[in-house]
Amino acid sequence: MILGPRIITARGSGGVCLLVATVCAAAVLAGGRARAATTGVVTAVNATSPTRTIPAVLGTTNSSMLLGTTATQMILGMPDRLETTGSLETQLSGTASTATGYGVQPRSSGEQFSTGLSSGKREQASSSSQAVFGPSDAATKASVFGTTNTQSAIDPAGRQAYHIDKLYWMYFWTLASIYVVVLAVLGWALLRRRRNIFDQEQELRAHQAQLREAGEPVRLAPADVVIPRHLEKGPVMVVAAAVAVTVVLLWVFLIGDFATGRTLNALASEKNPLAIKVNAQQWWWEIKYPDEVTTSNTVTTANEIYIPIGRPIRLETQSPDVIHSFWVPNLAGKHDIIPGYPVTFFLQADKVGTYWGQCAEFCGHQHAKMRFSVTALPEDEFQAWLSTQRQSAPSPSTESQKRGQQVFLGASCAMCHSISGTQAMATVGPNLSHIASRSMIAAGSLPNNRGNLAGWILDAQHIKPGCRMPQNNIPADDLEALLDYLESLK
Amino acid sequence: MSRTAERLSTVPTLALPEPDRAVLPLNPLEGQPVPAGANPWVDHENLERTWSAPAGLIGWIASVNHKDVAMRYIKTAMFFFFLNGLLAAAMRIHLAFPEWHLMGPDTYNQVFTTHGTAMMFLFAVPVMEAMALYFVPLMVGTRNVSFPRLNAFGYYLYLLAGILLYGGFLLNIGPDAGWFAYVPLAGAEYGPGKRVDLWSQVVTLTEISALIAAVEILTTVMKQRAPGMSLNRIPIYVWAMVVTSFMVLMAMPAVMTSSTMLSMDRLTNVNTHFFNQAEGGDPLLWQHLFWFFGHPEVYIIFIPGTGFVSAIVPVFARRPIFGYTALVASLISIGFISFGLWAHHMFATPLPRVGQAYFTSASMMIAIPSGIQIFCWIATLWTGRPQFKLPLLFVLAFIFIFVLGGLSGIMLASVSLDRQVHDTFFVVAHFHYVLIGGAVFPLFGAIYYWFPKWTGRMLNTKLGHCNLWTFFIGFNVTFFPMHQLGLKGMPRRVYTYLPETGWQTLNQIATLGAGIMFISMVLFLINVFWSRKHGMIAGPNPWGAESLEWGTTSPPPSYNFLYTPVVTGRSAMWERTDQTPVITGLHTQKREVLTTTILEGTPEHRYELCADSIWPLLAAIVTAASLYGVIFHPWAIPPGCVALFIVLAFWFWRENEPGHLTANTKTSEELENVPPDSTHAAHIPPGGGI
Repeated sequence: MILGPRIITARGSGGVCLLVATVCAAAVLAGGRARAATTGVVTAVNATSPTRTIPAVLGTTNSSMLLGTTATQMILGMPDRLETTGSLETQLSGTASTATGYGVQPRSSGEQFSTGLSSGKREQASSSSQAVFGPSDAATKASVFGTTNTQSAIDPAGRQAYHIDKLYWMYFWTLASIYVVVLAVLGWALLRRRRNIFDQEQELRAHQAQLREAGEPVRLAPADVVIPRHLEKGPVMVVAAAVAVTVVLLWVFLIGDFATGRTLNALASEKNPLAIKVNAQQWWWEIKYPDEVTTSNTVTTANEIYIPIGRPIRLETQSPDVIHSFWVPNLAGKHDIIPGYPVTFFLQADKVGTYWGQCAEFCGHQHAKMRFSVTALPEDEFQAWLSTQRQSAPSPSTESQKRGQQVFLGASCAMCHSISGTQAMATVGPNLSHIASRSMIAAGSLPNNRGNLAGWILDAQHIKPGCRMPQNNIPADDLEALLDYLESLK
Repeated sequence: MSRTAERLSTVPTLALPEPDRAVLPLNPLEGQPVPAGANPWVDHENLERTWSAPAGLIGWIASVNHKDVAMRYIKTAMFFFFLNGLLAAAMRIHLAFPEWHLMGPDTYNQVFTTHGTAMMFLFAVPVMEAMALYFVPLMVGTRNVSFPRLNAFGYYLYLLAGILLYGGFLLNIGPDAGWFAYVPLAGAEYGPGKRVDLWSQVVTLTEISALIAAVEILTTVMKQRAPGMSLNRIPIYVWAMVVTSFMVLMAMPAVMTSSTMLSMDRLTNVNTHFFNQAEGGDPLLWQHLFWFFGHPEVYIIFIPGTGFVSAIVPVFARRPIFGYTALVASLISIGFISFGLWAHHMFATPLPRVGQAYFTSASMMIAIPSGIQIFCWIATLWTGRPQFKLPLLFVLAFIFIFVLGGLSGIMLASVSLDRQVHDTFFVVAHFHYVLIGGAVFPLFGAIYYWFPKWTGRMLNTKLGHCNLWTFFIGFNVTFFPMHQLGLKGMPRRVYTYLPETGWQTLNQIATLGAGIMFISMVLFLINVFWSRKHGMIAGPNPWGAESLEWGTTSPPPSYNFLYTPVVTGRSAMWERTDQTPVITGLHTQKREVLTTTILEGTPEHRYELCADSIWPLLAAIVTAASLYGVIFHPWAIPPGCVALFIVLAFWFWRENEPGHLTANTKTSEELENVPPDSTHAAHIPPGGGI
């Protein structure tokens, strides 16, 4: 009574199951191996011969240091937005690997770090700068799917992310094995040889004829149906064993999760944390480095966080509007920032580099472009950066810059933005005191260069529709002056 | 004539074995057991006249036959499914290129919100309930659900909810805060306009409809089974729907309450502050209330899927399901445990760590009953003789996909891991694996399995294979890369991304997969529409299946069973003998069903069901109008109540009560050759025939 041709045979289907199981196993192994082959986050940078005129970030004597111009260019994105140096490609081809990876004490600025699993070329930095791995490496960074690693949860650069990464791979391999086993058992169930049913059907028909003659009830089930009348001990025991194995494995997962959770929470009790306040707003991040002792030393910046490596960072987050989520995958898991629930959590970077993060809770129109970066520096470089940021914004020196400052204060800019040392003190929008020191604008969605800045000022709505910055009609020469002024705010 | 033409003209034309475009079933008595001494043709004619809806448009609208209502539900739900698929295609096209502003963020937000809301509220739950509304009465051996007019009312409410949501979307006032509408983004201050109010009312309407269907299923299963069908003999599919219905009863009120609270927060005339932190409310309360519903919701979608699998696997393994008791226990425990998992959607929020640990444990624990089900199905296939027909192939695809999704769910159950992948494309991959794998693939398998029962014709096998393979391959190509995307840092609900992130390649692969799935759905539709007219005629039991719906014609007559057979085992059709008794003596000129006890299934008494009625439609229109009005002003409620009261008065008016049927039934004097037996009391053999 089964209609239709048997297009797929038992063997075919079971074979497909086993084939898929094998392919899955191969993919898992390949994925694992490829991940191991992913080169480390950090690469060497030759801080020489920049071809762009973006001023050096630190602006002090350490022009060869991390956030020098070339490094800045590396962060800044696609080749069509900036001219990359010729040295860029050569730098990125190899990684210095010290096989130590995470957990190393902060070294002197001459050495490189890597994930420890790579076997790339060992290359000592030609300069004393710590390298920055930026998103412009997208084309050159090798990984299985061709994606970058500066926003990746499986390329940890900090303690929290490292522990989670370890847990992830334990889960992954165990679960993948379970999957392969289940599919293999299914394939075997479908493939296994069964005895010929012809005799069974013949017997059944003979039996039914006997019953009919005797006037007994004859079952109307199809002849190939078997209804077991007794407990099938074999399968019952196998299923029970499978359930027992499942329970044991779930306990393993549970304990692994609890252990990792405790390790992650242990960071909160370490000494000497650096406190940073994060105020997440629609659709940018206000970052404050509070200084309880000298309040005038409090640094307010936006969308870029700088932290020293090897030191716990205490992030005190809050949101005045909707739920956001602070997430920098290379360093730690995410924490939702719910209005009314100020959340403090800890992370620590252990490798020098720039890591990107993004808001991870839908917060409205420009949720997609609410990005930020966390740059981890050696302690001394960090302190240097901090002291620069603590200074007031540079006063305008040239005529054009002075005019630019007047434009800033006279137009609607000062209604939302603040620049220290001027009368502009509004906190609606990001603090622009050192805007020229930032690599990106518009919450990490545009490289910080003159053209982009001009476009952003004139018509932010075109770039980020729905954002809170209005369009501004500024005449061309005023705009040039304004840009000159803003570019001087290092 | 040319040589070619000559050759062709000598090819004998095939004599078609069955008439094309025939009205099915060809023989209304085919497959129906007939007791000795009965006059089946007369009974058939009477029953047909009694139970079928009146002719004409009004009759079609007013029909309360469960099969008519259920088919409407299924067709509407599948229509919404394909609409949502188009929305998904729009999203995937948009994400194929970084920084592509094909849609602005506002449109994109509406697209993904409508996609999620419509899939969860307008497709997944209704289609599962609808399949149950069609098959549960047939599987338990009764003629209609317990409350036929309520059933129709539920459908019309659901239809009006769908019109509301899609109407809003097309008018650019659709909801845009995500399908779970977190406050404060969905609150009055940050969600201006009426968009989220519209969402609240869509939720309210669909949940009333879901509650109605749950009540129908539960009452029918408990009280209207065939004699001999004790509770431990009902098919596993029916058990799945019983568990689902209990879950619906517990979960839907939570979301209706919370969406109403949200509405009240947003309406300026009501101006409550449930979720307004500044006035003492709590945004986190919304999350708790929503996910208390939201997590059982996904099991409400998944468990019927497992019910389909449990219906299909025994048939194509040619043996009853292995581990009946274990499966029932698993279903019940999944139902219970699923209410204790909700906070795993909130692991990124500042919940206390101890509480998070409990939810982790519960989330992992639910893998045990799910695993038991998988093991039992594999054991059934192992000890049986698999027949590789399309329904079974869809079930195999389900196992491949759902198990992978379940395993990624174990990862998400861990708080530490979840903190990295929460709200990323990893989660999107996970829930599509479990929902499409766990519900949609079994649904398609069920459609291939039950299409002959609905229409009397088989779906085309070749097209079915193309459908299956393109769906399977397309699905995996779309959603597997999303795991990697999530781990590489791509959050959910982003209308675009920067090129530097390097996510483009994986997104393009996913879009390619979406294109393959689109082709698959087109093939499916071609198959359905072609097979309705030209498919091979099926007969009552083309698969040789075990459950009771295969004991009547294909398609079933309006009265389901001419003489309902007594059930003597778990596989009703396979345990039947040529001497199994049937019920005779129920009125054929009144809409009468037999009610039985809850546990044992012994007959209790006869119960009369109601006639077809236009009042459910009018009540639905009035209710929906009132709820549409609440979007704008709370004063829509009082006139709505008054109007509904009036409509209900007509609904329950004396003339509409059972026993006073319309004139399309004939009295015994008008019928010829009516044997006196047909109007006697129900004749059950001594001992109950059990």
